[in-house]
Amino acid sequence: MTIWTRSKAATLAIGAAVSLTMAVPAQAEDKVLKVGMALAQTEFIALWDQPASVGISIAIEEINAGDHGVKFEVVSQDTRSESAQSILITREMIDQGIDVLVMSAGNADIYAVSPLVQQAGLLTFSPESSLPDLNGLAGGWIKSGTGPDNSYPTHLARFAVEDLKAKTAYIHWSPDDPFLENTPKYFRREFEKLGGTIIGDGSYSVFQQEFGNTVQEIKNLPEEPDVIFTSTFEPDFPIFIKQLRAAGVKSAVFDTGAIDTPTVLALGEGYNNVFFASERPEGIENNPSMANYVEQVEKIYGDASFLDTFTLTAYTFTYNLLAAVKETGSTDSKVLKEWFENVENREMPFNTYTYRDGLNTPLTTYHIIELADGKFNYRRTMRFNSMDEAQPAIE
Amino acid sequence: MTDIIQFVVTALSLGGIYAMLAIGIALVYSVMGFLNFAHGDLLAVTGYAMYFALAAGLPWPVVAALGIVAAGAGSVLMERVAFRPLRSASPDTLMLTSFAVATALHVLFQIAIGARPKPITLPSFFSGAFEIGGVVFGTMQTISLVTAVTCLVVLTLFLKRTMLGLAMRAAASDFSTTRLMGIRANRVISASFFIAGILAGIAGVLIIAQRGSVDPLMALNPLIKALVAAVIGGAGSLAGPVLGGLVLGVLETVFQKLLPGEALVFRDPIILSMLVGFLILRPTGITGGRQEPVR
Repeated sequence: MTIWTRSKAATLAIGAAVSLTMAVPAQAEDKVLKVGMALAQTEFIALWDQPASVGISIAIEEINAGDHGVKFEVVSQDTRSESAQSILITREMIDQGIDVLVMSAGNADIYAVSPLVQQAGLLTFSPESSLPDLNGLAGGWIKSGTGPDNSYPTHLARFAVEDLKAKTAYIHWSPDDPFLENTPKYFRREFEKLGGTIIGDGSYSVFQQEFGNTVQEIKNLPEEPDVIFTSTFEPDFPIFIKQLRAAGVKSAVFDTGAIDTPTVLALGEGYNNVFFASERPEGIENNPSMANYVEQVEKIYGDASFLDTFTLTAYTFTYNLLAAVKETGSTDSKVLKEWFENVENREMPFNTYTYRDGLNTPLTTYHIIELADGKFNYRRTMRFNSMDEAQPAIE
Repeated sequence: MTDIIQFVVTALSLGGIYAMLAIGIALVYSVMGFLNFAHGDLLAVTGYAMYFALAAGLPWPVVAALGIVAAGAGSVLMERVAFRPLRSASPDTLMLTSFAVATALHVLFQIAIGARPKPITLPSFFSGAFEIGGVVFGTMQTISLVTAVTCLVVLTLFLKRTMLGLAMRAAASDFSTTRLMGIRANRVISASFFIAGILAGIAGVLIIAQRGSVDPLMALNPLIKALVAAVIGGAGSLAGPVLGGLVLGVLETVFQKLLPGEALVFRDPIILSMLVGFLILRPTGITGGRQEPVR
């Protein structure tokens, strides 16, 4: 029962991390940044918010243990994946005088909370949100730690044409969610712009469980497509790729999401020619400056395969926040917002960020990663050529 | 033609899994008179039992067996802890309790184990496929179909040929009279929950073998499907949920195949509308039978 112990320890560690940060005494000269964490620890959105919570907690523990002249003080509550609860918690935290709010990745939560934080002038972060609407929402008071929805599919389309010399593609999308519906459209747009042809498309429902018909449809195409672009995520992606490969379809499979997750890694041998884009750089495990991060993630999850994009993005974003406080010498929300709005090509240890020109989902660098026999091969590093590309037309 | 055969196999394998879950719901409904909304969470119990068993290095057949037994035990425990103290309460109270149990289990899994899916790596054999006459049959698809049929046959024999099965059928028909004839209520109810749990465990192993992971909320979708199957087919008999499951499998596959992509979002609403239609026009389901069990 080693894993059970580790998992229990994981929960305790998350709680302990947050508690410790609250307990760390600030020295007289230290600034104190009061951070409200309104993330979902339970129900549907917890899938994204829990890793964010872990990444932020590790970073804050490191920051508070160091000598940065800033200490982070955290108040944390579970939104239970309910936007009504997000509103209540946000109001409560505003009353408690927080300087910065970290909020859920749920689109409904973001829309619900945006009038509140705009009115309060409260700098808010949704570390995992790639919502294109974010650029025009809440007067710029809500910012993300990750690039917009069109980042993954545009980079993948360019990689498909330029590196794999792909000429044909099949598109697989879902009407169940804007991200799952629109990202294949972004791929199609870029792929066709570069001279590629879409030879078929099919849709699916989230949690479909069975993809036999789609697989048969792909097999019935006059020619096997060079690329299959799918927006399936966990748990649908592993099912889809298994059924596809079992049927003998050898096309390169591109996934729109950051699928550098344990369940995808666990597919193991025999699953090759699968590509995705991620902000997670190569070699985190061997990077000396990441030693504590790697150790903590392994301790919390009991497994190194959880060193994925979600946790890392939130971790890195926290250091962006530290940089903002250190450089401005302020913990005031308005001052920090202005700092972010002038960030251009700022190099952080694991990514280079641009928030300038109204980008609330920043322009960041992506890595095209190939899944081969349960291992990740880094194939190419990509970044948008202009600011305009990072401000997608909303589908 | 290959499309049609593929369609039938897909529909039946999906329907078979839904049927196993739906029978579990119907068994409990028959003796207790309420739809158990926590039944689906036994899939997650199976999954986590398998995850920990794999982590302990146990061989795959033992892992699967433990997963199934865990669901059976979990189901009995659920009855003992949550439903037995409320046995004399109304079906509405029991149903609301089942909601509470389901929510408590979600939160327990999410806090104690984590919200993220845990991988369950299966032997590569399960990911294979074979081709007959141009039609590709997935190994897992075929196993699902065969397992579902086998389970249904075994369950039918159990209910018809054993004393406990007879007692369960009698209890489903008229619980009060059955008790007057000396059958112990606790034994019948526990057996119903155990068998329902075992069926959920088998369905869980099949679902997990396909998806390769377990997460705290994995039960939600299959549970809704199973409830729909139980209501459409008729929860008052064994044949009802089986028929409901197969009908649902066929409907889902038909809609998946025929609806244009933009309209696919209406697949589940159409099916749920049918559920409402059945509840209004034919609440006893396709197979008819008793509307409310006598407890």
